[in-house]
Amino acid sequence: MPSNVVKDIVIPKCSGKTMKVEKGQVFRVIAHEGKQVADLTFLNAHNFKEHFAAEHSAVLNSMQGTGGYYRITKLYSKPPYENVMATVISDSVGNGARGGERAGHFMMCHCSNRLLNHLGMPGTRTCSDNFADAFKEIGLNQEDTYDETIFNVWMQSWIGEDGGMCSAQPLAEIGDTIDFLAEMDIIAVISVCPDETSPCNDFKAKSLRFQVLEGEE
Amino acid sequence: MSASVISDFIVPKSSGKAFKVNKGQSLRVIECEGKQVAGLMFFNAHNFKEQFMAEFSGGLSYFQPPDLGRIGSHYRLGELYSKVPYENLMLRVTDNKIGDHFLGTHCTKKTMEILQAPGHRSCSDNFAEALREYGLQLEDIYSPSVLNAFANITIDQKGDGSIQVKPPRSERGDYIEFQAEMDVLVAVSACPDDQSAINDHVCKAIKIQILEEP
Repeated sequence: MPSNVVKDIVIPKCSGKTMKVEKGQVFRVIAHEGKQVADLTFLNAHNFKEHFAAEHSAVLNSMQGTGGYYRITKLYSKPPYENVMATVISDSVGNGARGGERAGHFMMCHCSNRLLNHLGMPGTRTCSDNFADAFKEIGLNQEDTYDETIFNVWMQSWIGEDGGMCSAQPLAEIGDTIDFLAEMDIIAVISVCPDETSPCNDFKAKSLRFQVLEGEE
Repeated sequence: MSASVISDFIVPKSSGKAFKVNKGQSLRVIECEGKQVAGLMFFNAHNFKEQFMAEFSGGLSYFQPPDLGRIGSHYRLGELYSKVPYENLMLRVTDNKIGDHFLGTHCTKKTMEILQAPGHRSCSDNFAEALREYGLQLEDIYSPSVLNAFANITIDQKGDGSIQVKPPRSERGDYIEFQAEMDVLVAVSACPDDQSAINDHVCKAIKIQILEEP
């Protein structure tokens, strides 16, 4: 387990950023203020067309008994690539230690401008804005990349019996972490979810801490 | 109904087909044999970067402005929207008696490997072949998620959120109808999976009609 911290940053609340993680390094997300969702997608650092597909990974993990829509172990890229981009090697909430009825993450869409319009709150900042800012750092427009179905770390939402989306506050507490082992050189694209209108961030947007670790010991 | 059928064709079992539907026209996806899933992708006909986003459309159909109420969900779509940053209404579901469908990924090479059928044909192959004549490759398609019409798949509300795949409830003659709110390119895959219960273990054809008001 790599334990040498080579990068350690706090990403302010309601903002987006990218971080490069090399093959063999570990990307760690830390809930250093508690109940706050980290929206994550990943790009192959050498081919931006190869990006993480959360919804596809949910189904492939479900078929292999390694997860589903609320937790995954293997993060696959979109077809036709379908490579394992990263593997979750430690997950202090998804492992059930915090209790709850479900694993506590959500492989689904991030919040967007149209969603907030529908909810009667036009002009509210969304993950869409954060992702647009983050992609700009690496010269990408939102039109030219990704799929807004992403890994919502610590978002405790689920699909109800009628197919509706239900949400409860995150199970995560201060200090909870999730570790991703990079299986290729990747760029993590991050939104610190700005939502304060729902239980997703316990009605208060907070910052998140991110680390990159390496080394054998 | 005074709309007349202007195009009527069969998508043979285990194959794909792409075609255009103009704004104002209606698209009918018909179970000509029954218990067969049709995977559906949609593109703005004038900008292929503007693509239908399946899960997002389920959420937006559920979270409609309060005065409009809920017109759909993850399992029963009301309106179809494009991906961010576009977020435009692409089509509207106008007739859907059977109801079932699944907004999620299509079957792929990896799916077939996991099903112990490496090399088996998948919806990826169908979509790649269908879209080739429009100059589109799988690499250009942002999301593998599609509208899996007639699929009877549910997500566990608890635990890991694993999926359960059951045979479709649709019978011969059941259909889902859409009205195009913009000119769209449609790609249909008659899902070639006979390995799981998704098509009741037998692959069949799908019928397509395009209708227009006189």
